[in-house]
Amino acid sequence: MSELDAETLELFIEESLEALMRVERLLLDAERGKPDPDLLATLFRDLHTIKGTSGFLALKKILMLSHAAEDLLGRLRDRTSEPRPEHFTRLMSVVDLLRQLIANVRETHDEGDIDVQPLVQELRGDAAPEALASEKTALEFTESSEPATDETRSESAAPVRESADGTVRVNVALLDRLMNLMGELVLARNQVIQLVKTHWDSDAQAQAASQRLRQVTAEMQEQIMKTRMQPVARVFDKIPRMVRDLCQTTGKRVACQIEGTATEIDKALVEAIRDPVTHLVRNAVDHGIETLDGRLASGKLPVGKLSIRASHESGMVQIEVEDDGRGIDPRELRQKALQRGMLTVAEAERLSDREAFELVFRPGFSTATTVTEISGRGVGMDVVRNHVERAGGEVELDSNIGRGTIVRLKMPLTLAIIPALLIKAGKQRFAIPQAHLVDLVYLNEEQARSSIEYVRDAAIYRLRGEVLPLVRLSRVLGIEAARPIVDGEMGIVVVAARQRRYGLVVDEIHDTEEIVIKPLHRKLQQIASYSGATVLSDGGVALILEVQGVAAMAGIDLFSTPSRTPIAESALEEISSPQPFVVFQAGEGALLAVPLRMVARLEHIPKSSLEVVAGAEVVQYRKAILPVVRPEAVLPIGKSRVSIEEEQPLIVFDFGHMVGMAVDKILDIVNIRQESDEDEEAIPFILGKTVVFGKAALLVDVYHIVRELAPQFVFERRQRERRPRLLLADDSNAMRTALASYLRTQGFDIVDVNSGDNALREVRAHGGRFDAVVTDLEMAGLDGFGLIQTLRSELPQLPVFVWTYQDDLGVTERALTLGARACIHKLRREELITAMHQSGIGLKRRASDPDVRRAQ
Amino acid sequence: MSDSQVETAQWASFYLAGELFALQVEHVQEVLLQQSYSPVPLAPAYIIGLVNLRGQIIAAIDLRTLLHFPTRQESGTLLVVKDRELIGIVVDEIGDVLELPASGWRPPPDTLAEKHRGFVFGIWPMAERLVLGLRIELLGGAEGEKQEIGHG
Repeated sequence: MSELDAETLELFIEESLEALMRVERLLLDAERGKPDPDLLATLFRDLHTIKGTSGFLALKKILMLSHAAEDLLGRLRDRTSEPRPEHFTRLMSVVDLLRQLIANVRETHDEGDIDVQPLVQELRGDAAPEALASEKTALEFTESSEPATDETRSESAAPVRESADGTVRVNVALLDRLMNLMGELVLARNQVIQLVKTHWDSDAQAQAASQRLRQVTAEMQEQIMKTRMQPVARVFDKIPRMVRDLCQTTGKRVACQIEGTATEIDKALVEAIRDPVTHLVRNAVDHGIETLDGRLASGKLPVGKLSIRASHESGMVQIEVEDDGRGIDPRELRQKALQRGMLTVAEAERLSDREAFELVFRPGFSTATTVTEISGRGVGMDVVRNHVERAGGEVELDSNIGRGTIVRLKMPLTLAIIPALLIKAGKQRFAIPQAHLVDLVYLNEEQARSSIEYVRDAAIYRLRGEVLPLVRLSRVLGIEAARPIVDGEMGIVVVAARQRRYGLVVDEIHDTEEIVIKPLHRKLQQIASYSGATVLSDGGVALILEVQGVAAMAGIDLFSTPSRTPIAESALEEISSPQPFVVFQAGEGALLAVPLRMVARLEHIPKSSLEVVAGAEVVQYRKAILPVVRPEAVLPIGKSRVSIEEEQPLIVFDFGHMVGMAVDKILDIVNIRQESDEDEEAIPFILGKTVVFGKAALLVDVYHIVRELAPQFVFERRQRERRPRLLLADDSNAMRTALASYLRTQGFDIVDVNSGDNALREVRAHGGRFDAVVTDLEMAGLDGFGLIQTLRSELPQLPVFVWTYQDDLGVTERALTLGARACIHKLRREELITAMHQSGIGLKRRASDPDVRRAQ
Repeated sequence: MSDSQVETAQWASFYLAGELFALQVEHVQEVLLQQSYSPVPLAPAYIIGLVNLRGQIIAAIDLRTLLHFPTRQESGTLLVVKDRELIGIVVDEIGDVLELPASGWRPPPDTLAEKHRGFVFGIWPMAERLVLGLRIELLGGAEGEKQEIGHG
């Protein structure tokens, strides 16, 4: 059910309950005296409203009942029937029954097994008075798929009812309670086992008792779980009717085949799959299967085929919804993603078909070209995924053009008790559901340093050929915001979130434990990183991690809905002024450094693989040709000595094309505060100097070196994930507008203001949102100098660039002294881009780095 | 507010930052002495952490932060109250159960700052001191939580 429907539904419920209260009151009034026409008209209107809305929401029973009641009231109003007491009795029964139906809808989104026919018949026919003797028409409703027996009609309100065939009817609330107690028991068992382990480890009797307790609890848990199992038929049985109705609306012909209705799944999960499955069926009929003409034109049978299957697959329940319709064209998906600015051309081309199908799960991504009444605007697949994942399941889609589409849901069998791995981040314990666990890796300090690689500032680890992005949990959660990935020995928990795997860096890895999932407080449910909490065997509380949520917060692209909480973003916004640099040696032992964020990868290649092609050095690298530049070609650092090493260290950059820089030795990654070198004379291709390991090191202007030595491999980059946002201050409207539109084409988001004062106001209000400020110098009120000065003291991390017509060295120098990153002449605006790239703005890491992607 | 003002209700009182607050007795499930809390990273500031209440996990709320009192408090007596769900509020000290006729409630003084007033439905002037009637429905942070973002 779409969010829109859910909202309408909620409104309908409120409104109807209100109306029913009124109806009930009026009926009582009417019974007492002679009903006046006004009163009857009010009653008529209220039932008419309920009828109308229930029709719209396809609540058939409510519709039928309110319709019949409305008819009767119409007849009474129009005096075609004389009001008799039994009329009002029946109408009262209608109110009761409607309330029950609405209560069912509210709880389960379904009207339930109530039979409204008898009452409808009574309302329709002016039934004989004696037929009304059975005063109670409303049936009792029990949550069961079995037909109601006389037994269930008995007055007994007791939770347990016996029936003749040796089965017992149990109230669902009792089962829920039993399940909760079971959870308690599991916890108590865990505690006992723990205690025995620590205190009576050598006591054989205690050991045996503990063992026995373990077995019995496990067995009991299994049996209690079984009592909660329901067949998926509860959802599937509604499908044929729905398909029939859909066919009528769309004029299509569809044969519906349903298999595995007896497959059982926890009651809570039956509810969890209801909306997704309904949605998928609608989608399949509405968008998947072609119209009659369309099918005939493509040589298919006129009747479309829709299969819905449920089965047990390795401890999960798998549900497939498959149609033989037109299928989804991955090219169309790529095209659409391009149009919506979700992907760049290059990224769209790199996307495999499988990855392209993932696009449909993105929020707001619809493939249907026409909006239809049935499936609306393609709201949906993202909501489907959301529902499924919230219940601990997974969803994937596969399609063949012209052949059809299949969507596969994998749901856990049960929700409440799951095995989970306990880990520690900082001082806190967390539980990771075992279903998401792929592997555990432990690295000692030395291994950690040598085997963790970097794609720009993103750490990765290679596990059996797979490149895994690494995420430090304590950092994502803001427990230790500044902690680096590699920090002594490390435990990596490799988890799977959808198709994507990543490594969660944690501080301690403990045992696995059976945990009982407890819901979180409303406010905490909004935090994407947790799916619940649990009580551990020592009585402490641990949060249960939602690996998808954690991945989204860490910026790992799962093609998912954006992280649910804004808190997450701010927690990740960590801007520290000293930045990590890769420090290396080249030439005659010169120390050089480049910002780590510009580095795509550090490599060691066999020297023998270097070749000279058309006067330029290249190397075969990951099935492509990698041009190689040497810093000593442009820097005054002397010639490197010929070394006897077999391996050539290579720093790989990505300027749209990969380019390698051959150096003598990669030394370390060091945090360096970049300082402007006012009193130094400028060396070409050098941005500044710093001191590393007690020696002077040069900060290398890689971008310009590569542009100088291998210009054909430098492309302007476009950003997809988050376009860097600039604040632009200039009092000339024309210049400002021109620059703003130019910068937008270069992949920046621009907020522009016409004075220094307004710039300051904007920054004070939303400072954290900007990546940089670009300002003119001469402006009325607060001028550029004043702005720079104020910004440097208030937001020292926010880089300021000056763009001006001033060529006067004195002026530009003053701006630089005040702290501007660069002064750019207004006629050379492309230099502004260059300057920003040098400061790392607009060159941010993309989660879908081509290199990482290809290696996967 | 209607259900907070029924005829003569019994009110559980507690002290917080020098003020005497009251909640209808029916809402108070139990009182727990000094507890330790498992913090929840990324949670709103007024949520101190989670407590294991006999297998049920409840969130402990720092009423001072929620009421915009300047100091934060992370330990103290935990009052377990039930509104829509169970929550714990950390208070300085538990007071007596007060019998307060509904007619005695007065609207909170206009001079009470807006941010505090939202959580108090009224005051009951007893001879020796004022009782502040706490709006229980806001304890979950539903409407009471002012958006603290936007300061850049």
